[in-house]
Amino acid sequence: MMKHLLILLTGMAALFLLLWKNKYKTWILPAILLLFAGANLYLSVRDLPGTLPLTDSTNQLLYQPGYPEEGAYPDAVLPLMVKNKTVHTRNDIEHFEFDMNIPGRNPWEVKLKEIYHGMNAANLLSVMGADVVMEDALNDVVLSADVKRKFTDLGISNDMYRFSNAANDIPELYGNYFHYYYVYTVRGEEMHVYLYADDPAVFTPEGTGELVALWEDKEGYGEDLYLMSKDFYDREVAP
Amino acid sequence: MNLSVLTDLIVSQVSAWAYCRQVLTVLAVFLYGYVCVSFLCPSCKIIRRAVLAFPAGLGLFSVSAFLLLVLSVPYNVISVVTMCVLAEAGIVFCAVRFGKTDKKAYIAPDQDLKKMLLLLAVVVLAAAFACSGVLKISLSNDSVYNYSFYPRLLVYFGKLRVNYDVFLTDVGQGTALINTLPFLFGFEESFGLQHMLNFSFLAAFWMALYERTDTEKKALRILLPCAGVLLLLSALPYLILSKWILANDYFAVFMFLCTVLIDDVRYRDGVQENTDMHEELRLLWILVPALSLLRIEGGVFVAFFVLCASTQRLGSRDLVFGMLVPSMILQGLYTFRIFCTMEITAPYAFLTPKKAGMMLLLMAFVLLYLLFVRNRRFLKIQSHLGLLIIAALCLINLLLLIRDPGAYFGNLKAFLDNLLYRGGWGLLPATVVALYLVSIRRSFRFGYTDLMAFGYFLYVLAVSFMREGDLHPGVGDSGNRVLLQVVPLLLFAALSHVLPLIKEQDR
Repeated sequence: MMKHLLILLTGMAALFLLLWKNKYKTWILPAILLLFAGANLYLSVRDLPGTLPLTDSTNQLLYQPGYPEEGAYPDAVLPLMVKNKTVHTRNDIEHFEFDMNIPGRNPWEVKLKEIYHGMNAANLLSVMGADVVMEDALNDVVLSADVKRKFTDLGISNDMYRFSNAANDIPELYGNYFHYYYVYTVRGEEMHVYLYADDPAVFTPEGTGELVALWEDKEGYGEDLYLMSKDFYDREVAP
Repeated sequence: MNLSVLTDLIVSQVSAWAYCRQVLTVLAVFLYGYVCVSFLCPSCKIIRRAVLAFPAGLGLFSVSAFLLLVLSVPYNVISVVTMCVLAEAGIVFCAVRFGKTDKKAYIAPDQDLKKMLLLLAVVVLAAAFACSGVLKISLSNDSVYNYSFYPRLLVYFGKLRVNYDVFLTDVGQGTALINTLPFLFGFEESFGLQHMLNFSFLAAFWMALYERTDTEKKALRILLPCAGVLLLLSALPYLILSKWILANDYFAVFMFLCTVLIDDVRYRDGVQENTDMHEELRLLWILVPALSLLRIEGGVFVAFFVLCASTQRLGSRDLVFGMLVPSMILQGLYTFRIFCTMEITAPYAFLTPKKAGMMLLLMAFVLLYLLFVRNRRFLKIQSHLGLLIIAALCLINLLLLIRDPGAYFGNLKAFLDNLLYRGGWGLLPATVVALYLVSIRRSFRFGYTDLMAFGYFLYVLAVSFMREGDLHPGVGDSGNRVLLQVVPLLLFAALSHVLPLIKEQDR
């Protein structure tokens, strides 16, 4: 509050000076503006970093330089990894019907996973530019704990799933419930995107290899995404 | 695996071409806008054309792209470019067919090749700098999803889909469409577009202050507006607004430009005979409809804006057919499209059929006023319309207070909390009050920019009720972000009172 009072007092002082010494106004006006600018600048330099997290955007990507360490917005870099590549996923879309009007039940909770699983996931990858191939052969594949340990955590993906329903074709009412359910309930449980890039060149926009994307159940709601090269999958995961 | 190795590899493959494409897109939007400004305002000086070109280009692009979407035309590079070219061709045709200007004056008014080349070099440098990433930015959840993921979906599917859901009811479609440019033209982010818009805005801010600094001392005439721009650039709320990749910055810039273009005419009418200024009002035919699309509640603001503009010496025809009706058509088309054709019935949504209907109704009331009352009836009352608008806004706020005192006081408390402590407003509120204090000596006149700036606070308080939830103290709360949009205009209104003091000094 003191800062505000000081500025107001300075304004009043300027007013009195203007009233008192008419001929000095030419300098009083620029001076008062520069003084105010200086005070604002001081406060901005001091407070801006704490008020609004700023990032350097020199890499031309939505995915900012600090994000790998923070685990923020993995979906901001995923499109660059999967675009124009063949991505193999499970073919386990479950078609479902439920009545939203059954009293005393929250069907979107019961069927939440089915809403996004498969359908949302595959469509999401397509929107990101991948050529998605859904394979029955991947349905029964389970990633062992040993294999999972090799992956690197790319970050939290709850919001990616939250918005993924926009890419599917399920009734919009379910999608809306799904979207808000994720905001208000599932958000507490973190889901992650994990990556195993034995050969990083495969995951770059100019990379030509094929990829495999597996969504793995986790306790409670939600799934983690494991992204790997097809070579790695064939070598170490395929049964 | 070290993630930074992979991201470095990706950056090395993406950066160069993404940068070039973004710079080229910025320049294309600039040229697009430049042609638009040149044909709408042929008497406009070349520098002024350049300053207004980028916002005009973005505005015309967003309106053209929006029409494609609501009319269910597939949204892709070919259709977007075709639509934009058709829109521009329409402007050029009308200007040449009905205009009285020498044809050569449209593109190169000053016939000064050196000046044009210099200007082009400045614009290329500005675009290169804007896209370079040297300026820091801030991203939040809305930046990533509303203004990157949703635009990506728009380009991928090429149409509006019922599953977009909250994107349709919560996001300003105009801003989302501007953010489709990266996905249409092959780059990854739109930060350069926002920075370039900010550069144009700062130049427009400086120019508007320069116009109002009436002194024969050349150095002072340049220095004072520079000090004003410096003050804006140093203000914490402006830094927050301009660096945050959201719709608020776009909205603030368009709101400022629309208001100042009208105020320029009023100001210059009082200072000098210059009917050419009225040509610039034609830009409002693009900027105002675009403004109505930049945020989801844009229609309400346009109703408020046009009503305030009607206090000025503008023809009702301009206000009705140039600003209000086009905005109503766009809002009406959108409302019809999402609620009648697509039948969005999402239980959780900001824009509901009821709110959309109320927004159109509000615009219709303003339309009826302009058509049947303005300059026809109650002329004595109309001479105090500015005060009446403030009184009406106070009344609306009073009614909302009576309806739900708890919510109203909650919102008011959050606003004050934000303004003074937690909303990232820094010293600006005190600075603005101090500037008004300094200008007290001059015979104070509550002008058009004051009406817009102070009316906006009452407007935001009323509109906050549309949110159906209490506002929260904090910089990121949407209520606070909407309030931040007034920062450039508020500071400009205050400076508009201070700068003319210099004239009194010279005598």
